[in-house]
Amino acid sequence: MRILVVEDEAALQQQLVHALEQVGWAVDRASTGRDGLYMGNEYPVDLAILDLGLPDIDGLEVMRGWRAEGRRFPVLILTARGRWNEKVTGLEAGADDYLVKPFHIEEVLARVRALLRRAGGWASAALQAGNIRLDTVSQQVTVDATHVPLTAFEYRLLEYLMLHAGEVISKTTLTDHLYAEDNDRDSNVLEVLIGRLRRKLDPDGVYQPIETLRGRGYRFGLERRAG
Amino acid sequence: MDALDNSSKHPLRSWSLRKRALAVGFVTVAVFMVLTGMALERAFRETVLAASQERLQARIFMLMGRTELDDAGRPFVIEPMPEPQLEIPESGAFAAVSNFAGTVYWSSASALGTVPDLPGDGELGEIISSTISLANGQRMRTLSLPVYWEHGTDEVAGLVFHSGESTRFVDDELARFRDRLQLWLGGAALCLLILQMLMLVWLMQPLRKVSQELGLIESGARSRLDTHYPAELLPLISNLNGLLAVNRQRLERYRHGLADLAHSLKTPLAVIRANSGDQGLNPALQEQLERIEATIEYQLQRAGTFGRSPLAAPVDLPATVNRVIETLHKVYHARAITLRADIPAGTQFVGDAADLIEILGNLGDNACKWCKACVQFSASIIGDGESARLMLNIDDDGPGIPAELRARVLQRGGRLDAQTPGQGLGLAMVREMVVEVYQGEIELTTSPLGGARISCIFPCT
Repeated sequence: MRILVVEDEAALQQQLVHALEQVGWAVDRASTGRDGLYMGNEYPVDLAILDLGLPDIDGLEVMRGWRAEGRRFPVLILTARGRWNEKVTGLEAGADDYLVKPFHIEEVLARVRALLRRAGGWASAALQAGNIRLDTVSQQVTVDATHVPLTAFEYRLLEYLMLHAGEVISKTTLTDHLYAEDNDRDSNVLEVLIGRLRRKLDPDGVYQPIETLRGRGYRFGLERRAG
Repeated sequence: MDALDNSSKHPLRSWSLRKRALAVGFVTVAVFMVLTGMALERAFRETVLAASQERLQARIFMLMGRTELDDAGRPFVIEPMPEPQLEIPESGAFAAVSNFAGTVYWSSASALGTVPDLPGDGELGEIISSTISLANGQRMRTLSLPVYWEHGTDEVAGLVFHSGESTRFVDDELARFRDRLQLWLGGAALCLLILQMLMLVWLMQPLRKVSQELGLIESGARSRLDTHYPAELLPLISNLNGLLAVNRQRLERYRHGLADLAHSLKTPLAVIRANSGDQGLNPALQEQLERIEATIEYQLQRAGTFGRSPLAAPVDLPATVNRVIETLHKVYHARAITLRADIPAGTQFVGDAADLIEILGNLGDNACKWCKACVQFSASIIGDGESARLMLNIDDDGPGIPAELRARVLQRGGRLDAQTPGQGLGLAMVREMVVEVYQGEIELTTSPLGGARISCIFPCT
């Protein structure tokens, strides 16, 4: 998951970035509306956290800018003003949820998870496909009700694939969404990680949860289950 | 207090400008008319008297011209007299000839033989004028001219020629004049007063306009006074406008200051909140933090409330409710709540659109938090004409609010749970807006859906 944080207040931005990175998401940060607008339009962002009170461009304009460019990722707006008028305008302008400052950081994470699930078409906090269940809150993965220990990066990889279950995801897309802009990328590393994840989830090679489509990418192929 | 004391001591001070101007006008016109009347009457009387004098003099000379002495030296008058009035009894005209002793030799037929006591002596050749009372109670003005009348060659006889007329000639003429004078002066006074009243209305018009405009400003319909006023009022108007502008700016500054203060406190609070992180804050500190947050939220809401301004276009209620419902749909996406609106098309809310969204948002949000699956907005107009009111209901199918807790819920900071996310100010804020800003009412009852119903009732005008 790659998350864009647009917040001009340095301390708050730092806290948000820190909390999001703790979860294991890749985070891009912008302190001005102009940077936010550029990053949202140019980077493969999965979700944006956008402060409405930015110093240069109004947050609503930034969001309209993204939507005008056809960017559909979910946007969580942060506002200091708890006015409903602002919330209504914000959501009408294309935001998906709002939070009024001050907020608990856990609340931000919960909203972000919910928005990501919603964007992937999932209704509940636990994603279940085939015999694999991924709980986005506790970050636990179970296969046939047995807990499977995953590293942080493996978890992020699986989460991304499961959220986009059924879609073909290219290697580039995957690296784009799992690494922030300043990280080194090496597609070989990704292949190795996919291999390791496959062995952990499906040691006997029966279910084949992650398919490789030569030259096109990967697909999480198990059927989604509600719940 | 001071003003009251003054007005009780000096009742005139509390007189309106119109009353004052009318009083002054009335007194002026009355005094002017009375003085004019007196002067005119006096002048006329003198004219009439002079005419009478001339008439009498002419008669004396006419009488002298027709008087002859007989051989015995007794005078006789050649009749008939050229003045017919002297021949008509009781006509009021009179002529006579007597000697110095007062013995009447001849008197006109009009005197019917009753000759009053006439002045006899006097300077020769000097006309004596007198007013004498007659037996019938009337009075007569007379002129008498004593002369020596030659007859024969060197004999002279002392004769006095009299002419007179009843004072009623002059009096009648004066009375006629006075009647006519009163009619004209009264009419003129009336015209003047009417003119003055019209003038007053015209003069007072700008003042009335000022007071109307001030009323509009008070009710929020306008922000400043028009500048199409007479030159004398313009300094006052511009001063008032200045005062209003300063007031408005002060209010604006105050409001912005409050909002800025609240905003600038929010981010540090968010940082404190976030920093308290995993181990959590000391509960006492936590409580204080929440109080600060609640206060900030409250003041922010207050600062953002605008209230009614009659000149603003009314807000389309169904459209606004739909906007809020769309928003709530997004916010409560995960809970799949059914949000319904039952509002007649064309229903209007008289007030500020942002305030309405605030009220709907807070109440809708509250209902969504508590409901099981369904929230409904409905509205209707109750009463008609002046007393028409807009009733807005927000229903949910949640647990409802027990009757004994209802009053508390509407109070500031009074919220029933500490777990449900929210500022706890929503309902109190709505109550304040509805009751204090919009002079409406708010009620908490049981909804037909089974949960709570919150009804807001707004005046329609």
